[in-house]
Amino acid sequence: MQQSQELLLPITGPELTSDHVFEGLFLEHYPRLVKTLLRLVGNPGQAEELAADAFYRLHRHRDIHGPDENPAGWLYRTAMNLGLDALRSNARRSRREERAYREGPGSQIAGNPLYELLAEEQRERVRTVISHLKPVQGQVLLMAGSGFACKEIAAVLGVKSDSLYVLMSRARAQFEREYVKLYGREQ
Amino acid sequence: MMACLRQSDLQGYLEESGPSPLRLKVEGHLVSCARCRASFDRVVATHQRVNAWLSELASPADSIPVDTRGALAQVLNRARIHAADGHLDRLLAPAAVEIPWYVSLYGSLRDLIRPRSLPPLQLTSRPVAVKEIWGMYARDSRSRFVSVGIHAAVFALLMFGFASPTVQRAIQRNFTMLDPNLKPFIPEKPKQNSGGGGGGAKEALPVTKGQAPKPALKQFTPPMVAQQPPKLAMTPTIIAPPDTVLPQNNLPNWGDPLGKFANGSNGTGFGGGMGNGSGGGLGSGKGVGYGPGEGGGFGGGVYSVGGGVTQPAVIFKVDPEYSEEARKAKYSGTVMLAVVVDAEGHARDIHVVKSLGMGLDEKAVEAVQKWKFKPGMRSGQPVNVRATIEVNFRLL
Repeated sequence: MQQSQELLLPITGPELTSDHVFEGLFLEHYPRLVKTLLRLVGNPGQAEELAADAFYRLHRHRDIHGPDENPAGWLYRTAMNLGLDALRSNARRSRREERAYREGPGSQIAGNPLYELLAEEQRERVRTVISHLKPVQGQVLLMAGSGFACKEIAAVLGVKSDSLYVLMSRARAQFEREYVKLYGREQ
Repeated sequence: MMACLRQSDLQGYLEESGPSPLRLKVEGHLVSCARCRASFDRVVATHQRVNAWLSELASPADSIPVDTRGALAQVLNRARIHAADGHLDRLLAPAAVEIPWYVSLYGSLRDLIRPRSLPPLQLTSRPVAVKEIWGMYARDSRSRFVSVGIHAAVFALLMFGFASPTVQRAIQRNFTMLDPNLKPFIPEKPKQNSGGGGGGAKEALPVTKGQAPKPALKQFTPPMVAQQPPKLAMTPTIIAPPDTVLPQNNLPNWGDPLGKFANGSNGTGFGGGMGNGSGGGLGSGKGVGYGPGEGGGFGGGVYSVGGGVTQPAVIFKVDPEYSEEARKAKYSGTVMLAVVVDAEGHARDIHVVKSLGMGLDEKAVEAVQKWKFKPGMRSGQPVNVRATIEVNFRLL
């Protein structure tokens, strides 16, 4: 119970310790990070694990190298890289697991089965294309697709707006080329 | 004319929302630049297609509840566990551990040439009281009694169980003592004939094939192919034990029963008799017997003492010399030699049966070669006899 009381402490104020800053970061960014990773990996459990792992690495990074100037940026970059690695690992994994998840009793997917199947197939295609991009391009597109504002993305990546636009333009063009290369232009 | 827009400007126009300097700049330029409008159309198309693809990633699973506080507790707990094991951080901190090679080399050379004076060592470690573990079992009297009981039972079994009269009787019944002397059970080797003889008349052809003469203890005339009929015919003999069994055939003439051709030759030998040896016998040997040996008899060997053959005796003896090596080592012992004492009383075919080494074997052979023997006799005739001689080396 004492642990819960610590978690409920306010996160602002000059007297806060670094643990309290970390807790504030966690409470603020964890849900959003989980949803962003969920779009990338498609598995809620794995998305939560990746997000928690990213926060754990942030904690260790802070202990070893001291506090970072942009902890949120470091966190999102790390989480996106972890998600991309997991995405590439998932591509090598047997599709049977994914199918069992989709058709399992705990599945959250409802509605027309055929439509859901096609939608899931399309999601797999998009994830596959993202996994073929450069990590920074995948991060930009995923965050943009998840509703992050350009300023947030720029802050996470540590770049200016002009550079971000160049990066986004190239990432979108590369995404389209990669998609057409893998699946054709019929979409 | 205003410069054309860059791709990043067009992309920024699409990304930003609301009035902004960039959007105003792009809108103003697109009105007047057809080329940029074409580029803008392509950027918009790509933007929309990619947005459509990315929007596919949104799924109903996005609405799942997230246990933020539970996840935070797990992460903090994991971090605390890791922090408790601090040596991992020290191992994983490259900036604190890794030293450039040139710095390490310089430090090593400096320490080698001029070691740094270190501050006096201060022992900060203290002995830690630990729980006594070796005395734990000593307090358990039950284990002690069980251990003593088992040892006593094993001891009693060894002392009284296996030593009981019943056990001893059983052992006696089961074991039968065997006589290790196996000599009565070993079949005797058939006694081989020894001795031999030879002869010839220096003819060109080898000895003729014919009937062997009878063995006898005395020889009046050697076997030869008669060139002329003798005035007084005598049956030729060879000297060998009368019961000696010689190879036989039914040829009418005398000769070697093992010869190859019947050619009427007395052989290439000399001294009378037949064969390529010498003496008045038959065969390739020397003497009045038959075979490749000498001294009479049959078979090709020498006589052994016994069975009518007397033992040779030493009539002249030379003491053996000590080798220098054995003298320095004060070495003594006995060399046993196997020799053949021939009919002339000389020792030949000397072999060392029991060696002493240090050059004493050679000295013993040299001495025995100078000895003179009275040869062994068989039926009054000197024969070659096998004998064994022991040569003693003693330092006074």
